[in-house]
Amino acid sequence: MDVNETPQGFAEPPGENKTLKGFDGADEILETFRCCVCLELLYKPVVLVCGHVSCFWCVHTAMRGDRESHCPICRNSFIHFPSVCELFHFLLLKAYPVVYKRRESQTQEEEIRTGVFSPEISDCLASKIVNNCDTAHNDVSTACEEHHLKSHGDSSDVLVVDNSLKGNGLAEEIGKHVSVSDGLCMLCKKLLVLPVVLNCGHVYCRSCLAVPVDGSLNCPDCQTLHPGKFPKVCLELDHLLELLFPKEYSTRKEEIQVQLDPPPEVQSLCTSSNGSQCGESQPKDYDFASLKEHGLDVNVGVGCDSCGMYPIIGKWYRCKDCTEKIGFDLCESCYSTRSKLPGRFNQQHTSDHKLMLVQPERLRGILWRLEIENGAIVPVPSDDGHEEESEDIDPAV
Amino acid sequence: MSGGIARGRLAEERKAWRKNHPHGFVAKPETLPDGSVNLMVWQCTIPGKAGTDWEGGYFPITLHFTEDYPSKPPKCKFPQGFFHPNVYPSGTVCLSILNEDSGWRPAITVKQILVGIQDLLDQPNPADPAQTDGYHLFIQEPAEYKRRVRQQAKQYPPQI
Repeated sequence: MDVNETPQGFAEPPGENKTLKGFDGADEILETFRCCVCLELLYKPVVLVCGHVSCFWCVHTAMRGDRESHCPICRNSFIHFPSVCELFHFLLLKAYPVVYKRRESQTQEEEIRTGVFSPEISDCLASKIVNNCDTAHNDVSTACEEHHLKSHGDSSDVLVVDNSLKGNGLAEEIGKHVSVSDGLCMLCKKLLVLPVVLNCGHVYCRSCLAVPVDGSLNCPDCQTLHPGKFPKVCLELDHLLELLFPKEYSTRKEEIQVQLDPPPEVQSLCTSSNGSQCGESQPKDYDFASLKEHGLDVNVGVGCDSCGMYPIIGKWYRCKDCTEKIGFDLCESCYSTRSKLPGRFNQQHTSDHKLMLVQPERLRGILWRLEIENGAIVPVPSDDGHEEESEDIDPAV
Repeated sequence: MSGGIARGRLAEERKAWRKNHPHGFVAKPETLPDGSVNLMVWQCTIPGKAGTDWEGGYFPITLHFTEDYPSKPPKCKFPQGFFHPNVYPSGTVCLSILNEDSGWRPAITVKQILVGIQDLLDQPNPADPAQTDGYHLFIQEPAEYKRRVRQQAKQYPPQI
């Protein structure tokens, strides 16, 4: 009756399909690293609180904008659009430089066409390595790599690719570019193992991140609040770490096993759709049906550029100085904490810009409530000039 | 961005299907009279499961995708008047995973849809009837229901 039980098409046993082809440009991508929405190599990966991952645009397109959204894989509900996981992004770039580069130009073309952009991820290693992958090492890429290693403070741990991987097609070249320092947990400073990704896109080992007693989890690095439940392990990222750093990974895994006493439910921490929730005590997601009772406005089609709440519930602030088509918006709590994150869509917002409170559009609220009551939810098209962002849900149509 | 995604995804689905698909199933985008391929409509065949009354039947079903795919599920249609409690008189299949508001997830592939419908054939859901004929016989006259199912399976022999 229901195919929920059947295995995902892409979640084939890892042993059967170990072709990780890098610099040779082959199109063979390990099924695990295909986005479940577009079925292509993940590009600018966004990890949801349930641990499932899709491309930046695939998650954004799949979000509702008028109420809570559902994970494309397990239907877990969420309202915060997480930031791109940059660490995952760079590891993919290094594992599949040719295909990743193709995905990049493909996405850029589409972004130019629609006039809305995904966040620019700057790292000198990022673009250079791909550009130079055919000609291998010229001075630029070498210099870049050195800089990169210095920035991590340790050049001794450059990865020498494990021999076992050569048989699997992982180009030796990759070993010269990817190092364990690219996959470190910022808390234990060791290779990530069973990684969880916070809403801000920063990654930690599941075992390093303490479940907060008071229910509010802040990122140890950027200090931003992680809204909602405690995140689940991202198995795709875990798998990539294991493939790229097999030796270190197995050492780390053993360490973790020893640490965890009694040898506990590491397996149950994994991302699955079968309902075992980590951190059940975490704040629940918004109950949209009861919002009207609390008199809260839902700003349909408007998302917060800081925490990613989409739609913005409650007060909505808009930048008067950002000129990008999509605009720059904040929710009340991000407005009052003056969040420093750049815009979700690469807006060039700065702290000098002025923000204004957008008066709630009563009519919009009423329309939305009617739709909730009728059970027929469709995004409300805007004509008041404030909601440019709603165009971006579906700008190509 | 969604403008481009439906066709790109369907092209990938096509690739994946050609590489590997379940035995006895057919799924291919329709070919238009001018010879071009329309990725938005797929002509498929679902074999009845062995060991059930549906065995021997190769049931034609058409999948209609929209530009919103995979945010929205495709509409799946058997021929008009298809006999099954959960198939509307128009032929449209009523199944939770094909409903955007209940079971649909963009991660569901064409393969999973077809296998899901194959499961549905022999395991109708009486809680969600879509036609009177099939539903009443299923509930009230199991023997006659069985006969009709077998008869229908004979109507759809394998295509050579």
